[in-house]
Amino acid sequence: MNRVFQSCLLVLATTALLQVGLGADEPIVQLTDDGLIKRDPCYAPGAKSIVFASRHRSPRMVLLQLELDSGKIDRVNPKSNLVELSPSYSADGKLFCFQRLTGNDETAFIIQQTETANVRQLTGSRKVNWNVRISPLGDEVAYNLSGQIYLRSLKTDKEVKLTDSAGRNDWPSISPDGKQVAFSSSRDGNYDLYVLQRESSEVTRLTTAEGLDMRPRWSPSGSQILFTSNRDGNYEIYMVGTDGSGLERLTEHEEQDDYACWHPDGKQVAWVREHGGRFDLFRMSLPKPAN
Amino acid sequence: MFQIGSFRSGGCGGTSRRAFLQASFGLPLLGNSLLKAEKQARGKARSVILLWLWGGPSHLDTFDPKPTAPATVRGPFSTIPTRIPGIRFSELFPRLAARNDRFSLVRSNVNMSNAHHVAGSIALCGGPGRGGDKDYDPNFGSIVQRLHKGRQNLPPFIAVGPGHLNTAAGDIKAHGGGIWGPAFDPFPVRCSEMDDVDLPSLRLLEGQTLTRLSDRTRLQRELEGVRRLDRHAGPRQWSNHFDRAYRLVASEEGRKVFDLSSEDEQARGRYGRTQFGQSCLLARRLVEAEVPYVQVNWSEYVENIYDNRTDFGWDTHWLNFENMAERHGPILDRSLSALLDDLDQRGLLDSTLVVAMGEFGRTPSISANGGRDHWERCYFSIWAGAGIQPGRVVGQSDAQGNDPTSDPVTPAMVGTTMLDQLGISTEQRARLRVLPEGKLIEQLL
Repeated sequence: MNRVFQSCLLVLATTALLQVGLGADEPIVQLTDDGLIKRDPCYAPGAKSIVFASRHRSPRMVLLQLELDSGKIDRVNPKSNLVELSPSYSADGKLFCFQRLTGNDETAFIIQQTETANVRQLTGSRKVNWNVRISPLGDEVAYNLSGQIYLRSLKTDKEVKLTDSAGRNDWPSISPDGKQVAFSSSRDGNYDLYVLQRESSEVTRLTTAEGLDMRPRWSPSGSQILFTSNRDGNYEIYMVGTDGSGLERLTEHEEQDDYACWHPDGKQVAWVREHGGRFDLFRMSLPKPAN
Repeated sequence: MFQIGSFRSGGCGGTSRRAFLQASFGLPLLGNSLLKAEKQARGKARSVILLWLWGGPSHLDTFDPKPTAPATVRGPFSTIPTRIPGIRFSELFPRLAARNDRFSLVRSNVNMSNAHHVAGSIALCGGPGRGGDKDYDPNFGSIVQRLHKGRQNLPPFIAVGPGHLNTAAGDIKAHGGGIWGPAFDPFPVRCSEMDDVDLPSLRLLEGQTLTRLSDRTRLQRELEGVRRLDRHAGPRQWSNHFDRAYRLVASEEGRKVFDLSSEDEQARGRYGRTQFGQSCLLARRLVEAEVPYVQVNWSEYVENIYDNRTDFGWDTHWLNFENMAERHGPILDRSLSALLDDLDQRGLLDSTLVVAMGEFGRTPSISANGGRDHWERCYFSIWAGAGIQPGRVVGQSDAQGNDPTSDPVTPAMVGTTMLDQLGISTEQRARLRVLPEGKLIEQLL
């Protein structure tokens, strides 16, 4: 076999691997190629771009916006020199929320109106609030403070402590109708997924596997939850019904797959994949849309 | 590509010496064998790589988990089995768990301060400052540098990392020469995720051609006017750095060793495209080029979140579990595993001593802030390579990781063992008046 032919075979094989991750019906598409550390992707309104945090062209982690058609990447807040993390949008796209590190062990949440660019900053006093998410209804934010989940109303500014359990509670995600909150908790030993009914305060455990189940994300329809788990040895993306049924593994890859987020149509998922030690955004179509 | 220039160099309490000595000498299983003084150095190592986990990693969330402790102590992570029966690691370290038959673990390190800059200095030089928090003995690497008689093109003590070791409370004092002065400070090198390796001592040589570099007098004159830009370097230190850097760039060997782009993508990827991962890769290249002492610094600052940086040191008063799961665990697991594999495959592990440690551990009890605070009474270190018997666990901690129940290992013992493996004898240390106790961690050897 001559070298040219061998090279062609290699290219074809690589292309096939890149495009066919889970099978011919669920192609995987690589969206970025700079390899820099990335986290927290979320689709912007209209799903024509993805906002995520990365060290791209900066020693700090900052928010970037990837235009999906052109592949162009720009800073979301080009004038800011502060660390930015955890972007999220309300379902109607009118509010954009993210987190800033504002000093030594101090953080703030930024709520921005996407149409007017008006900005509101919610601060804590030497409290490290973390993993903030705005609700799909755009009326409150959920976050982790010292291992418990809190909600803060954007109308009244009132803060409510949602969990008060043993262990750690983290990565809150509010359901599309605002009535439930999914989160991870180590109250029963290791991190598993739980859903809290806000009206009754009833908590349902969704997963029981050994290992780390974290970063739950409600589907736009409210029927499924994406999450990351290392139950099979390293970080992979999984999906489970909101009642704990129908657990499905979506990635199978020897390096890390993490930070899954939903496309607004519920048919695709974007996430951060480590490949060859590099970190890039990928997208896949779901075998069955989450309806 | 080798790049010249563009380098960027960038509150807590304490424990008494008496308490430290009590911790060191008051334990029941502290036998003579552990503290045996060695006159003849073993000299199995040609090089040492110290992975300096600046900020103090939690021992409970890494390599000394306590799965049966209360939730307020054990934390949220599961444990996984390792290659050594009965030894479990945190679930964040699957690669290292699959390799711990190739390294040994100390679970009974003790320090004598819980302040970063003090404990860090003690951990890097083996003892407390002679005048309080000043006048520290030289860093272990500085001792190696002073005694080094090998090839001179490459500095014998190189610190790879994002910058000069710092805390919000100030610089670490024993990062280098200590009482011997800055002439024995490490030669600093910066490594980033994707970019080229940078040398701070040549920051102002950007645009210089090798022809111009060959005019040493002119170059020295040009540098004189600008050396003050390195705020950590005095005149002697600068001159020293300049001399080393000049030798380095003027030699083909020097230029080659820092050229990470000559590594293939797969090799770079195995270490992970993180600053720490690429720093570990550079460390391998440096020991391959026979540099005797390389200190790889995890971060510039200890702080996990500090002053608008994403340096992410190991000082996890806040967000211990978030960052352990997200960054610290996966990065250390990947980079250290790759380093051990790479050294082994190249036949370098038998001649390279690899040590990974911080300045202390973290509180067994989870704090009200949801993190863990400083804990100097018990922490871990990892040892692999030259002269180290693999697959051993030295020392035990009590049920909640508060204190060692056997075999406490002091910073002086760490330094003595490292130097001994490099062939630096008790007599040599005595002549230099460093590490006078001369006690080895016998169980590792």
